Amino acid sequence: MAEKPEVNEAMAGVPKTPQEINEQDVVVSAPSTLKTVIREFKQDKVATVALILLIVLFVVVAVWSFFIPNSKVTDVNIMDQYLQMGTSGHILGTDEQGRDLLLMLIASAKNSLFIALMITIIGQVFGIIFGMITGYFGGIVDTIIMRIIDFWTVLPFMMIIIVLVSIVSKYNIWTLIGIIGLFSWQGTTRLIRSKVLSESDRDYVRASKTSGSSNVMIMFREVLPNLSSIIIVDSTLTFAGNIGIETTLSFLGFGLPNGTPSLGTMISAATDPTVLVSKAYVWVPAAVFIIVITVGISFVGQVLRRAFDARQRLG
Amino acid sequence: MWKTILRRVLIMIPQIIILSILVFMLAKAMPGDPFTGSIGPNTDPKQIVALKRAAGLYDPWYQQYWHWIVNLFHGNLGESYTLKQPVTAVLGNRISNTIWLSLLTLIISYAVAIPLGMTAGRYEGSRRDRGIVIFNFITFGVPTFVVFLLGLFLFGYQLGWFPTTGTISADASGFIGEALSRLNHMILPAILAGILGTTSTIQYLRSEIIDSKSQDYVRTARAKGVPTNKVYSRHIFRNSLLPIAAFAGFQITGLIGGSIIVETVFSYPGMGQLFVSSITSRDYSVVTAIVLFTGILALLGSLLSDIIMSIVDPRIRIE
Repeated sequence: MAEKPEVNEAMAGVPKTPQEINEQDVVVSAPSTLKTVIREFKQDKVATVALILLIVLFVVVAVWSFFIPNSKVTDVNIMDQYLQMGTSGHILGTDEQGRDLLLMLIASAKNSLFIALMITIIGQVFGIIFGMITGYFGGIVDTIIMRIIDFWTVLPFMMIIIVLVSIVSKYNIWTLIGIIGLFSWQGTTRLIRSKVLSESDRDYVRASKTSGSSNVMIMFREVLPNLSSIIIVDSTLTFAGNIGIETTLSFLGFGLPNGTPSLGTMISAATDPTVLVSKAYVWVPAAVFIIVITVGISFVGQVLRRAFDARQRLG
Repeated sequence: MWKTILRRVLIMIPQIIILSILVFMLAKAMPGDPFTGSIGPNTDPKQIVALKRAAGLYDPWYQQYWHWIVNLFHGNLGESYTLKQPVTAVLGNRISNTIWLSLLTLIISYAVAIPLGMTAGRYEGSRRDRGIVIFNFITFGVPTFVVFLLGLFLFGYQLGWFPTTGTISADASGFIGEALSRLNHMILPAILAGILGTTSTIQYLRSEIIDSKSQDYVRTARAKGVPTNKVYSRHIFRNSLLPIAAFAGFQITGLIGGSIIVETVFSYPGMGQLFVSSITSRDYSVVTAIVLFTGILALLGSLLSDIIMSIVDPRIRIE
């Protein structure tokens, strides 16, 4: 440019030509991921409140549930049946079996959250592995797995889960987790596949291939870290969904086995119209708890999604 | 286009076969057989064995499977263990109840989602848009049964606006009276399920409209001097609506799968409620029929969606 005087003249009015800009001024460091996330939360007050509430609830449930003896949630005491809120030391009252509803709520929340967490982990692990394989290798492997997924997604999964739950012989928490897990990987697989498809065409993957890295190495050491933000968002949102699936099953009577309280089982007391109408204190706290947790998680998930996708950011 | 549709229909055949094998395997794994209910204290065990042998229950699985399929094509789904009636007779009524409820839900869902999605997309980033997006997070996250119960508690019992159980009142008479009574029983579950079913439509419509805004055809329309309202109602809306129509197939399958929850909460005698009560009473011939029927319906729904998509979107056709 400097060799063309007419250009220089035209730019005379511009306060700073590129040459005049101080080197230190132009160094723009990209804000760290954590900073972006914090900034995004600052822009969204609802989500910030949701996050704080969630952290408090999770900590309370995790810590308190350790101190609840198992007898408190299994013992039946007919004398204390259906006590109102705040009577004889029961802050939330008692249920049909005379158990303290506050302790039940904490113990149930722990079970429900634990199961949802386990299902999310199973879904993510298998989703990531299958998604990586289909997206990275493509071709016939991709076609076959995608056909299976198309089929698997369409199946009436709730019905099949209920049938499996009712015919499995040794039924406990882990079989329930396994059965729900069967239907929790396909969404993640699709998502990861589409991202890997676009990643595996990038230069860094080609370069790595040329220099002789093994496929497994490229997939899990090089491509995977680039998908971490998507995985974080996806696991947050599926976690909320899995809480919904487990509590729905327990509500219908096909969830956690007897003696393992769940938020869904607590609410299922309301299938009896008299409890639904005149003993609302038995089921409303658990219902509110589920709503707060699931809606809160989906708020937080959406904020994370915005933070990781520069086009959607608010701040 | 015909090639794509033909290919899609051909893919459906192995899907249905796999589905039937899957359901057959589930049915075999379920305890009990058609004679479980007829065993009394005076039944001779040898007679039961003879009956079972005559019914082919000791044949290899592929023969039994073939037998089952042939019966299926003759409309013979077996007999309900507990009700002692042919399964088809038990199902018939329930299926029509579920289909009516799902249709009403679908209509309400679109009636709510389309205006909301349009508004959110058009006024992206505004207060209205933020509100709609928050509404969408809530419907996305919250488990449906909790909302149904709260709705039943509030509108059915506390305010008494809607009936709380069944499909029709005992005193409804005449065609109009019966129709109105049925509608009255469906309206609360349909509104609640419809609102909860808006999530994907709103989300999709909103992003579709935001994308369309910067397209060439919109700029051309604006340059021609088409008023803003018309640009949205004619040009953008029509283009965004087609993919939404294509998802209708998936919406229907979702609704029928979700019927278990709605019908249990509202004691609505449809297929979903029959499924839950049959599982509880271990009436597995009914369970098998419902799972198979719902599965086939779901496959048909996705077929429908894919066909509409291939008509609407030329890019996914194969030549």
